Amino acid sequence: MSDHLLIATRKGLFALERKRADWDSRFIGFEGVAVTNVLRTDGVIYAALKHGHFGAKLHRSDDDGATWRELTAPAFPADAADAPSLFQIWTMETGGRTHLDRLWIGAIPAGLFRSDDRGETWQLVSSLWNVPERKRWFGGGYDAAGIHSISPDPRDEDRVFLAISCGGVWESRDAGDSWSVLGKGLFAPYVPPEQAEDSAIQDPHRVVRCASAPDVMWMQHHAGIYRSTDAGAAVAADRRFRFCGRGASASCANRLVRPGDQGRDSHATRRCAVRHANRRRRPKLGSHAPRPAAARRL
Amino acid sequence: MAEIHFTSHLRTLVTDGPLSAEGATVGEALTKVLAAQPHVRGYVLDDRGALRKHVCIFADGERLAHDGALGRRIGSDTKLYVMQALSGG
Repeated sequence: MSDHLLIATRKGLFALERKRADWDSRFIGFEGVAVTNVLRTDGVIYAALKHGHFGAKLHRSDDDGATWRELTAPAFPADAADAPSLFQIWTMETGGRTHLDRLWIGAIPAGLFRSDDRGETWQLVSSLWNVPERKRWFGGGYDAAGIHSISPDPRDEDRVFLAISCGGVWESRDAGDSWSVLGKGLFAPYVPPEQAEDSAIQDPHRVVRCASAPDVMWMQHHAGIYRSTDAGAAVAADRRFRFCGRGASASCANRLVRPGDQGRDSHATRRCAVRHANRRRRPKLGSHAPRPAAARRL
Repeated sequence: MAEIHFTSHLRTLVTDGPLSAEGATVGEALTKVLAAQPHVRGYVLDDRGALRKHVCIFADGERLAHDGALGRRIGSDTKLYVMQALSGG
């Protein structure tokens, strides 16, 4: 764990620094403004803001937060299908070690934007915006669907994994030129039963990838926590997304899942499995959902 | 020319206001002002050029209805105030 943390809050951006016995906190900037995401990479900090009245903005600091410059925020081009207005920058991700100038932004509505000049200019990834399945995406916690997580594969950083709430998980193997929907085995108890395994309407939230074993991923899903051992490329019959809490409470689904070394000894994940094993006899939230056989040990 | 005042939250961006611009409508006057202050445009108008949902405009003391605000005809000495809507109470 790093000794330096950046904390994006609804009231500004803060830093925490670990000291011998405690953590020191420091206010960095954007007092009173919602900071919806922050990214530190290669000596630069990017801060995504959502002004209550004045829209989503993007700022950059080249001196560890001492001074900031506003960049032009991504925007949906006027000729994009259904061209909406940017509501929020929900997530930001670097292009990785082989693409130091590349940045990704996932937005609400669920547009993916790419920059190849450290955020100076942005392009909507139209190949994703134009997938036919987008017509079936819908908002989870917000009015419109949004891109919640972006994860380039560190072994091939043109291979990019996305989680869309509610639009399922997607992968590009060509830096965003084309996309395939993944995540067979995910289960949505919030739609009619015949659609519950539809990959394109799943509600993944945060997805993280194991640093030491990049094929291992954890997913915080609306209805539970899932794990993949093949970078999300599961097929329905294989059930390679391992289930830990189908029909789980929202409080579980919103807990942080922290990647350990492939997760088998992850204390947080085991604790989740135990909690749901103990809850099996409680009334389910979604009565139409099939009852899980058991919460499996991961 | 219309005289355009900005809410205090935007005066960190518009340091030399109030500004003046000619225009037959609120939208025309604002377009001219924001063309000269491009860093402010995205705070008042959204990506589509529409008035942001939570921004409201007063013309000569009258709070304009949001949907028709930019099309409202104004006189040569109209005072416009670009304000935050009281969204959320």
